[in-house]
Amino acid sequence: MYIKQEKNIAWRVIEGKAYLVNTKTSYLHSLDEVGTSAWRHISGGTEFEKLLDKLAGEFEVKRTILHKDITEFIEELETKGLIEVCGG
Amino acid sequence: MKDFGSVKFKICLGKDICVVLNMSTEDKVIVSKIRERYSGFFLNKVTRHSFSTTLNLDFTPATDNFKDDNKVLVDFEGNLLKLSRKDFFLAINTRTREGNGRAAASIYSIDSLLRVVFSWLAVEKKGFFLHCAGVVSGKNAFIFTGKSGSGKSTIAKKFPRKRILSDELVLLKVKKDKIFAYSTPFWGELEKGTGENLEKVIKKVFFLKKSNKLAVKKANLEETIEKLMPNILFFVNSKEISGKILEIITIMSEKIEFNSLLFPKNIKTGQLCI
Repeated sequence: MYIKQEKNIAWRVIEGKAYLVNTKTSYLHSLDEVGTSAWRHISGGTEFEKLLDKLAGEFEVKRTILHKDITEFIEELETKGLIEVCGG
Repeated sequence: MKDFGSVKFKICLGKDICVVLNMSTEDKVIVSKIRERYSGFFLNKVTRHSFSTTLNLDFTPATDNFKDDNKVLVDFEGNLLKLSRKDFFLAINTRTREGNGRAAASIYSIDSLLRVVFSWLAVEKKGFFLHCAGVVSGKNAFIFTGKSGSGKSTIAKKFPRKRILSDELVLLKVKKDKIFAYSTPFWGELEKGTGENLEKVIKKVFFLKKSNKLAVKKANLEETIEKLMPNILFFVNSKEISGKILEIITIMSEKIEFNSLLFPKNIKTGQLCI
């Protein structure tokens, strides 16, 4: 599964937190620390497994929990039109 | 062939964000209405700090059945920014900032067109238009913002008209190490303001919420971004502009105090401590 940002997303990391503006809908979204780190990795496009590897190296969390949390996170970003997921 | 008269107005907010209107028209009514509405914001001298766009405008007959809430369509073609609505069309070269277009000979159309163009120019100069009431206190300004119905006009009505920058749209801008508020000709319920071009240093910004009790609470950066963004007016919604706006908010949050203000309808001006 390959994940990349939608083209129309403006974002900045401010005080460790990512703020995303979907310029199609004008909605503002903010991410927590883990979400911000994941977003940075997604920004250039990434495979899902590679994303998990990177986050597992940054945060002390069981792989199974991380897999579940990041799967939900990716689904949420996709629903909000913030990312594109190819080859589910 | 008719020999149309040429009329030129330079409309500025503060001294450095300006729109030059070059109009070819024989319509004295619209020219007089423009003069009446914006004369307090006319600037004759071009300063070297002036950041302006020149619009060459032709008029078309005004339509009676036009709805003011029609959406502005924005399109980029290379360096060309195209702004269109049922009653106006503009194509602006974003490099030279010179534009050509046409608008209905109606003051409402001109007013909408100016809001769109100024909101684009403002971001280029580290500023934006905020839906808010701006109140002057000496050399300072206090900003009261919130969604529709939150009480912006309620607050504005409690002060003499000469102390109000606008009850609807105020320009907020970073300049050197300070954050300034500028009066605008864009008004809401109060319809017409002082008509003066004012620049004041912002002391505090309040996010309004009606309540039974009065309470003031300092907002953190997250609250500031989340409460400010929905109230910023920007039509040209591109990645670049949205990113710049986030950066401008961050700079502002470092320089001025943002607060949540819960207030009862019968609040006295003295209780606002401004």
